[in-house]
Amino acid sequence: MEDRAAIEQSALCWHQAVCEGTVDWDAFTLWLEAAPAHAAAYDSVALADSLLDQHRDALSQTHQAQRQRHRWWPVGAGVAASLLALAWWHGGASTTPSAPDITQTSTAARALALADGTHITLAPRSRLEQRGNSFSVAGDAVFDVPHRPGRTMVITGGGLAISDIGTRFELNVEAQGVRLTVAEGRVSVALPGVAAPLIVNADHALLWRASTAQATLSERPHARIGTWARGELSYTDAPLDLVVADIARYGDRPLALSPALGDTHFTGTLLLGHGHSPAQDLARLLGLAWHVPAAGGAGRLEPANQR
Amino acid sequence: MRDQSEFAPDLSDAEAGSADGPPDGLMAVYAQNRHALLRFLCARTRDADLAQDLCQELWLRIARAAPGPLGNPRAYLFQAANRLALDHARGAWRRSMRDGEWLAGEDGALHAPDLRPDPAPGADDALIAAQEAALLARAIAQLPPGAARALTLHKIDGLTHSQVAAHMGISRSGVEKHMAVAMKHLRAALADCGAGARAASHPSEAPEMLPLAGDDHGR
Repeated sequence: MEDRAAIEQSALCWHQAVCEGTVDWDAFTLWLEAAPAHAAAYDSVALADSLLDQHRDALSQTHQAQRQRHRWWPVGAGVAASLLALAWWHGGASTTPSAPDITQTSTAARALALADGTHITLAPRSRLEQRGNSFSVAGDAVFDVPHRPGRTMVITGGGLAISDIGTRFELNVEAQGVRLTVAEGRVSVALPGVAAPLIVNADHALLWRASTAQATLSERPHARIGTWARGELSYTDAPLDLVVADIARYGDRPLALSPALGDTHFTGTLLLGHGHSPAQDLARLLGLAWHVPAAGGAGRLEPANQR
Repeated sequence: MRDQSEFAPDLSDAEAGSADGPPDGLMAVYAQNRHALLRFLCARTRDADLAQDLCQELWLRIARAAPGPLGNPRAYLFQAANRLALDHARGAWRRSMRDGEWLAGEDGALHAPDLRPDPAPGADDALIAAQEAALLARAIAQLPPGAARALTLHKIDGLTHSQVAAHMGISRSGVEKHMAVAMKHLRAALADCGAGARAASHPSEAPEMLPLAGDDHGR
């Protein structure tokens, strides 16, 4: 007796011949008549294929979205240091090797205006170092850089080096990772371990995860940057540990995250300022438990059923 | 098993061309091949009455809108007949999906279809189309990596088997094996959906999974 796998394989071959227009219709009819299972197998193959054809556009969009989300780059150890050194040399070549200008904020943001027309808004609890045209960021900063032919500004943070600037973008550097969101123009980003620079265009965001050395590039239509200055934190599929890092930066107390929530992502907007508790709002939106020690100290987000 | 002669009824006057004299062109080819077409449709659908209906539909279509000159009019008619059979199977599949949804109910409990409001046809079709696309996306996501890659390159990106082979660095037969695995998984995923498919999922009753076109006709 003909086994099922052989029938399925034959059905696929007949379907392929039908699609290519090479089928012998009389021979095909004889094969279909030979056993009821033949026609049933052919029916299911043709149906599955027709559904794939009908939904090709929808599947293509889904596939493109997955490609965007999972566009990874491998990393080689040690290259980050050389990139940083290159960035420092690149910027330092036009200036004297003097001590850097350092700006450190506490609970309030600070706006900086440079002589070349560049505007930088440094977020609360952030730090900016400047040596000539080279900058280093820890925390969060929004850059509005006018294009000046012949000048190259280099901004480093978390192992990344950003250059070729004439644009508006936000750079957020945390221990957990680096986020770059470009609102206008485009920037060139050197990633640790990647030979060619990555171009990040307007309405795109790059997430660099230091722990896994992985980068994700995603579209951000009408990207909004520096929304914290207007009392908002907006996210699209953001890893929860980075959201928690932001809340700790802009909120009134430290916040910790249960390791059990390490893979959770968040999409939405949290409000800052008086009368708002972004940690509590986040807990409500995600159905999590928010624990605050009575004696003060760091709050903690945990799965709702924990404890 | 039924004798194939059972599936070879007489041509109607219109189909035979007697009403307006001898048929010509594609109609003549149809008249010459009607029995072969009907036999094919009987084998394809496993339903004599349905095969008659589809054969009649085929004649109506070519009578209404005859195509231009054809290199192989006989093959054209068989392709068209095969397409009609597939369209009918698609309709049965969609009905089984719709009925399955109704019987299952949105709250997970079983409901008789006549106790639920009839949704607007357009909304219903759009919903089923979305469900089909989601079902396929889920099934593709669960494929083995090689099969998923080959299927995506061939069916979504539109590469030929040879191009897929070059892209993946494997032989053409390797691509065909991946495609066979992918299609087997997809068919199984489709078989898990729809009331008719569920009913046919018992190997002793209908081992080939999908609802058959017109299974309730003439049996």
